[in-house]
Amino acid sequence: MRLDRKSTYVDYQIMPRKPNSSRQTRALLAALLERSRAWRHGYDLAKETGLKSGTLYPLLMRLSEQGLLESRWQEAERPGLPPRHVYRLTASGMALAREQELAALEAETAGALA
Amino acid sequence: MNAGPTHWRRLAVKLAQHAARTLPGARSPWGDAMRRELDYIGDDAAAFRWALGCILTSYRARLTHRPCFNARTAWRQVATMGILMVLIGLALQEHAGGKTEPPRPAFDEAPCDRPNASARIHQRRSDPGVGRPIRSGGEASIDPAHCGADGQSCALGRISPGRPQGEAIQSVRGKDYGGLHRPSGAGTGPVGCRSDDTDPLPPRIPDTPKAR
Repeated sequence: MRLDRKSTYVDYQIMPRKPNSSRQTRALLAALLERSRAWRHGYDLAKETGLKSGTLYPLLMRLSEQGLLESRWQEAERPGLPPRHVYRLTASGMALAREQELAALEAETAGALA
Repeated sequence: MNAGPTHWRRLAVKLAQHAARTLPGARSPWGDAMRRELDYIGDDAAAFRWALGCILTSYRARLTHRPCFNARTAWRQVATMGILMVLIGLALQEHAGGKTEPPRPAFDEAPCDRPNASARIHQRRSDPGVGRPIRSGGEASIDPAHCGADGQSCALGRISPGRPQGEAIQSVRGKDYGGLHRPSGAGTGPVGCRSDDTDPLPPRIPDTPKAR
């Protein structure tokens, strides 16, 4: 089958890539949704999701720019240590995380039934 | 006993500081966040890996947030490169063009004191004896009056009186010099020099008419 330029364009228009749907983003949203009211540190998130810092921080930046994540500086619990940057989901971020969790659950159920 | 920071820890701190500086201005708080997280990582190897990730993040952010990278700027850069290439090509053509002839080999001139034979030949061109062919086994067509007093510096005397017509004589370099050879009694020196000369190069007499 030969695809010309117009058909390729139409295919991309029909199936646009969903934002924040990568495996790493879904893992991060799931980890943040697990304790949605708590402020989380970057290193804790990296240990929980298994993401490297080179992958984790670009995701955190992007989610923050999209308004799905809020961040602030938190004073250290022990003296002599610098303040840490902490993160948690906003309301829209929690909605997106729940939507993706539900979609993943449906896909898992459909796969189990098939 | 509290040991100081290890080599890996110091390197990780340096890398994280560099990453924080590399991030664009709008994202510099994220650089500080990554750098300060290092102090909460106990393992030095894990801290080093964390710092490498910080470097990757900062450079990726720097590359994706280039404000000047658009089509107009790219077109301007391509046009500038094209103009520069044309100018360089023109300069090369001006300096290196037209040299189609291969370089001539350097011909070593003999340091001996040769007579100016070509001038005499030019003078004697009207003389019928100069252009006369050499007879086979016969005498040379050279007027002895044009030779020097010693009989050896006469360039015209190089024409062999006894050489058969048409026979080429190979010089010491294997080239044909049109019937020229050493005059009789000129010693063991090379052709074109007196007997006390030792230069092995043959003389160059371009105006001498060749024997037919």
